[in-house]
Amino acid sequence: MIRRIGRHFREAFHGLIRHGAMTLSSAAAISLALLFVGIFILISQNIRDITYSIEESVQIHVKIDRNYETQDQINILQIQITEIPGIKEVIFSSKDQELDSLIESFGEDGQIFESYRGDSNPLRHAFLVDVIDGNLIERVALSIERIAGVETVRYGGAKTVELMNVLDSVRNWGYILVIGLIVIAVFLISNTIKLSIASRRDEIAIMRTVGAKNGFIRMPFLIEGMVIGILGSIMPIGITVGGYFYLYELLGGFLISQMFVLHPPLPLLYYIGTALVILAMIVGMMGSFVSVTKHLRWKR
Amino acid sequence: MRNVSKTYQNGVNALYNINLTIEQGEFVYIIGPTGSGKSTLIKLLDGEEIPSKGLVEVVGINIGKLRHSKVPVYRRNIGVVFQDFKLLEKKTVFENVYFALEVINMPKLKARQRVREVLQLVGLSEKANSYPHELSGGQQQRTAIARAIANRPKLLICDEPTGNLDPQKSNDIIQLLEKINEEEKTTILMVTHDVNIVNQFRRRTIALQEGHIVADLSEGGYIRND
Ligand SMILES: Nc1ncnc2c1ncn2[C@@H]1O[C@H](COP(=O)(O)OP(=O)(O)OP(=O)(O)O)[C@@H](O)[C@H]1O
Ligand SMILES: [Mg+2]
Repeated sequence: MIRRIGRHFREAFHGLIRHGAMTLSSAAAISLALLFVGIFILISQNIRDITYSIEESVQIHVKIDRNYETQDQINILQIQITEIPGIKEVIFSSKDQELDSLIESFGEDGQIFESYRGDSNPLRHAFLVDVIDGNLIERVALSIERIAGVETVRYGGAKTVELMNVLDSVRNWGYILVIGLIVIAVFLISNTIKLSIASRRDEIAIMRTVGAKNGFIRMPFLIEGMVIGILGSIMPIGITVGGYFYLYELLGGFLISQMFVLHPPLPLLYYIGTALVILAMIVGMMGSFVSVTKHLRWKR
Repeated sequence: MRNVSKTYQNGVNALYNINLTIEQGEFVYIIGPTGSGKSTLIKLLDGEEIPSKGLVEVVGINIGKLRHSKVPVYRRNIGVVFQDFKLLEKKTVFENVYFALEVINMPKLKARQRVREVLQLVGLSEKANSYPHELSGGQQQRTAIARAIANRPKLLICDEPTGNLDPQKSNDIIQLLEKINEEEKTTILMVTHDVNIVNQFRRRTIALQEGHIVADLSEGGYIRND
């Protein structure tokens, strides 16, 4: 089979040229599907980054009442909070550490708070609570609030959680769209190959009578599908790679505000380019495999 | 072939309880009116159909039990020639014959050598670079025969090879088949309607009617009774 690889390629290119229009239209179908795949990967990669950074910031801050500051009381509180369903982690943060993060959050100017260090520290001990899933944050916060010894409970706010939900559903609809487009592309390619098979029906019939193996008969068609796939991947790779570079430069690496850092283009775009070519070849070969296998099925 | 029956899926009984043995190297005619099951018999032999009952064995292989993936390799044991030649119009005589060897992965040099050999045998060496439409019917059929025997099959099946040819050309084809039978030791099974041929070139003749063998004459010859 490998020995005749040159022949298989020659036959494949005959087919491609003979049905030039069909070749182009099914390559265009792949292009469209892959363009969405590429954009989708970029978006979902950035969504993942953003979600990650939001999830970092979505943390419940629990201040401990001034009358519950003994080590025993703190331990009991920690256990009570940990027992609430949906909790990922509960970290104790002493007054001193709270002051540290206050100072840090003010940056340069923070140093003026240094004078509060020690017994005069007006801050409270606190717990920093992470939840498993951003959606739980409100419920968990309410539960914590009811525990005796908790002074106040604060968290990043419902807006962030909502945003996360929106991003999640963007991603899910993206999956559905991409899968749908790929199915359509496979279907279109299998139609093109069907045409190619039809115009070689005589040849195939003779190959069968003289005892050519199915794998041999199939090979040029698989190559034909693969080449259609590769042709179809050029445009979407160009657009996603070029477009993302351009966008990244244009926006200076940020989306809307400093809060959302865009994913750096490299090496991400290398991966996407490779993934798109491979996906295109697989889609092309799948489409032609479907048709050839159907045509070659024994009817005895 | 033992106790072979074939019923198609639509319920047509094409063959009933056929018992038939053909030795290696024989030359056999199969005759019978249309619809008598001749083509069905061929399809059973080349693995295109499986018998509903009974055993079909060729070169020691049970064809009914043959796995689909093994059919192609089995088919390299048999050559088939059709009434309508089935040549590829865009290929020359040489390429048509070469094609049959190429697609079973015969090495190039060996294949080219063999093509020249069989073209010589069928007397078409001069026409190697002609296209099928430049040839007479007889020459086209000889190309088809060359293609069928290129891989040295043990059995050559011809389904009405002379159906589209005038009597003179038909005789040439039969003489060619006899030559192949002698020189290449190929078993030949020829389906025909043509009683003249059967009577002129006397060979073992098997007559089919409505799926039954009604005569098996080892001296050949057949009296028309319809
Ligand atoms: N693929 C098929 N499916 C169903 N019935 C079939 C099929 N092929 C043949 N038959 C039926 O089987 C019977 C025998 O047909 P077959 O083709 O073997 O006859 P034949 O002797 O070759 O006739 P002819 O001389 O016209 O070629 C016929 O009644 C035919 O209608
Ligand atoms: Mg017939």
